Amino acid sequence: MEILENAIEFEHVTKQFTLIHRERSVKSAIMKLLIWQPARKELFTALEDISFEIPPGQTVGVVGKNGQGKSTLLSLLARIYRPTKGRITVRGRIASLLELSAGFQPEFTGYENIFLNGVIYGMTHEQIDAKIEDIAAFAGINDQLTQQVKHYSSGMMARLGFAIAAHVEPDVLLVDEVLAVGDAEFQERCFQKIEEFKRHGVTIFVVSHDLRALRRVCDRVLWIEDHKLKMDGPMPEVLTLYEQTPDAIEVG
Amino acid sequence: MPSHSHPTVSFTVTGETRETPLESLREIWRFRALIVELVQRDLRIRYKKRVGGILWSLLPALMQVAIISLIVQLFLTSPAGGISGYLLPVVFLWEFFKNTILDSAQSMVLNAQLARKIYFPRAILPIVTLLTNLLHFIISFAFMLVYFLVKPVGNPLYPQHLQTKFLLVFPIILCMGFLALGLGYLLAYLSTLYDDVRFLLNNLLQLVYYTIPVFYTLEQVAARPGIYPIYMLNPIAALIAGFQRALLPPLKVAGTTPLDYPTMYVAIACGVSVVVLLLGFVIFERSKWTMMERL
Repeated sequence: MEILENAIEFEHVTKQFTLIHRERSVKSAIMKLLIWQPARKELFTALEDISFEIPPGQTVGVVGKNGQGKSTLLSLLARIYRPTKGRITVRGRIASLLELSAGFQPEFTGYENIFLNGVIYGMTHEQIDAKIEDIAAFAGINDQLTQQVKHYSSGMMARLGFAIAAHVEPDVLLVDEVLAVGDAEFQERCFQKIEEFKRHGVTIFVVSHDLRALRRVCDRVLWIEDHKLKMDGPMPEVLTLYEQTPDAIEVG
Repeated sequence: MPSHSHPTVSFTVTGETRETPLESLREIWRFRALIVELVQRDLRIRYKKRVGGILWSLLPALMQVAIISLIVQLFLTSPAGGISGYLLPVVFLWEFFKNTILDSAQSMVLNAQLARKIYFPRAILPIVTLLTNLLHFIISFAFMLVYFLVKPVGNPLYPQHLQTKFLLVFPIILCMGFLALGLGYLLAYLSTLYDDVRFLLNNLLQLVYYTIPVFYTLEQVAARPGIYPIYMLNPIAALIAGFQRALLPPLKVAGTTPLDYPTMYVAIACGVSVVVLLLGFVIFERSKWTMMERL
C-alpha cells in the first residue's frame, strides 16, 4: 500500500473546449461546404492552470458560481474529459455519484440493474452477489427488486443509483449535488454513508451549493472563480470568506 | 478499503501525450468483463419481450427470403436448382452486416448517459454491438445448415454438396465483421457530430442491397465480363458471394456457364476489410475524447 502518495493530483491543468458552431446535419454541412462557409470555431476555457494535491482520506468540497468550471473539474476527475494541458493523477478506484440513474436499463429489473451497474463499476459477480441485499436495503427497494426499473419513481432510481455506487468500495468518491435528492430521511442516510466512507479513509470530492452540507462533511474547500482556483484551504476559512460574497446566496 | 485488481484503478492523463492504438487495445482487453456484461444486456433486451425469443427474431429474414424467391421464380430468370437455398446465406450475412453497422453507428449516442458518468474505453461500444449481432448471426447460420440438411421442398442440399471450401465460411464471416466494425467506428464518430447519420445510412444501405446477389444470380453477373470485376471489387458483394459459394455449388442458369469459386476477389475483400477496420479504429481513437464533449 502506498499510503504516502496523494489520492488526487492536479498539475497545471487547463481544460479548453472548442465550440464549433457547426451544422448538426450532414445535409446542411454539405450545403455549407458547397458555398464555402466553414464552421466557426471558438475556444472556451473552462478551467485554467489548476493545481492541487489531495492526500488519501481527505474530504474536499468545491464551491463557486454556476458555469465556472466545477462540473468540468468533476468530469476531468472521472476521466470523462481529458485535460488540454497539464497532468491529472488519481490513485485507486473511483465511484462517481454524478448522474445517479444513468446506466439504468428501464426494461430490466432492479436486480438485473444492480448487476449491470456493478460490473460497469468493475465489481465481479461474486462481489455483487455478496452485497445485493445490502444494496437493496440501503435503497429501500427490497420489495421492488424484481420489478422493472421503468416502474420506479425518480426518487427510487436515485436511491438505487446511490446505493450501488456506495457499495463498490471506492477509494475516491465523486459527489455532485446528489445530496439534494430524495426525502430528508434518505438524505440523512446519504450523509451517514459519506461519514462512514470518511472513517474508512475514502477520499471524497463534493461539488455542492449547499453550504450546510459542505460544513458537515468537508475538511477542505476549493473555491473556483472565473475558471481559476481562487482559494484552497481548510473548510472553515474558505467557507467563511465565500459566504460573504454574493455568489453564496445564489442558491438557498 | 481493500485494493482491487480492477481495470479502472489509478490513472494518469496528460494533455500533451496520447495513448497509442496498441495501448488502447490492451485497455480494451482489460475491460473484457464489461464487454461480456454489455453483450448480455443487449441480448436480453433483444430477446426478452418476444414469444419464442430467438426463433421469432429470424422471421423477418425468412419472410424476405420467401418473398424474393417468389418474385425471382415468377418474374425473373429462374435457375434450375431453386433459389431459396441460395438466398438464405446472402440475406442472413447481409442482415448481420447491416444490423452491426446500424447498431454501432448509434452505440455512442445511445450510451451517452453511461459514458458521461463513468470511464471505460469508448471503443468497446461498437465491439459490443458486433458481438451481439454475431451471436444472432450464428443462430441464423445454424438454422440455415439445418435447412440445407432437411430442405422440405426438392432434394436436400447437404450432405452431398458439402465440400471442404465450406471452411472458407469462417474467415469470410470474420472479415465481414471487421468491415462492419471498421465502418461502425467511423459512423459512431460521425453520429456524435451529426443528427441525420442514421437516416442517411438507412438510405445508403438500401442502395448497397442491390449490389449483392439477391434479385439476380452471380452467374448472370459473371456473364458480363465488363461488369463482373468491378462488381466483385465491392468488398460487401465479394464477401457475400464468397460466403454463398463456399456453402453451395455453382448454379445452373440458362445462358450462363457455372462460376468458379471467386478466390481472388474474396481475398481482396478480406484485405480491404482489415484496412477499413484499422482506419476506423484509429480515427475513432483519435477523436474519442472530443466525442465526449459533443455528446
